[in-house]
Amino acid sequence: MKEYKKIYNMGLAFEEEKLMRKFEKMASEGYLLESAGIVSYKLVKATPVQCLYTMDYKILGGDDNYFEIFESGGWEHVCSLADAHFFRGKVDTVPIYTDKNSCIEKYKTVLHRFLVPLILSILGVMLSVLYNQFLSEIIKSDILNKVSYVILLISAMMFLPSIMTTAALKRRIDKIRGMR
Amino acid sequence: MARKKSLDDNILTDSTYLILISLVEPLHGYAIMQKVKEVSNGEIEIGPASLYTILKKLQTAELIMLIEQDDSRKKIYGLTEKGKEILITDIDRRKKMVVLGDEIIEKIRRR
Repeated sequence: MKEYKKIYNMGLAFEEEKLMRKFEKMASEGYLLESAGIVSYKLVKATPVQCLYTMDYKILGGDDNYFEIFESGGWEHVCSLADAHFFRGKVDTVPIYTDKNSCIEKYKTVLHRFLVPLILSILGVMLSVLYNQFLSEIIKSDILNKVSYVILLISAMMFLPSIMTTAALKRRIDKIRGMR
Repeated sequence: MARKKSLDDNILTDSTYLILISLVEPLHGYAIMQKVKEVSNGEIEIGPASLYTILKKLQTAELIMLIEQDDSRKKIYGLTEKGKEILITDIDRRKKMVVLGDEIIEKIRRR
């Protein structure tokens, strides 16, 4: 019977470094990262080991040598969650990013992904407010009323996480740009 | 954006420059990392994420290309004509910088 531990997924944009250090600490205590899920990360009991963890965002095509290049750079692919890929390496392995420009690209990939729900949620709020304020008097329709409330609700729920994630990613990019 | 711009201006970043230099003879991913370390006397190492990102960029900009290989599943990269041209231009630019640098060192020391 395998023994597992779970670490809750609080959003990589907010806790990437903290999470990697946590994985390293857990590995030294005998729990190795096995899989990543939307809700939590699963760690499996193993022999304690001193190692490094890192992660990268990359949208991969079919015929890709991405993992092969990481492997030859000393980084073993552990698991992936959508476009987020997790790697484990020995303590003295060269970091996966050694230049600023490529590292900025890493966060730009995800930033662009999060711009879509952000813009959609802003549009949704604007449209339903517009309808309720002005058009509902002219076009009297129960269905449209309900639809506009549903859109408002979904948009409002989407807005906060997307603006927070976008802001966190933007901060990361600015931080790397500022580094010399 | 930064890298795209730097490729448009034909000015190469140090990492890009070292990767292009390594590709004078066609190589696969792992060999590029080794070669960069070798030509920089162990001073510069390229991480795999940087290498992957830069290789993709260079392919899109058509400075490097994949070379067909029957006997190997590994992807082998080589310079294109455009890549060679830009590399030569950049080496020239760097040479001028070095000459300028030498003159400055002279001036500083004479004082």
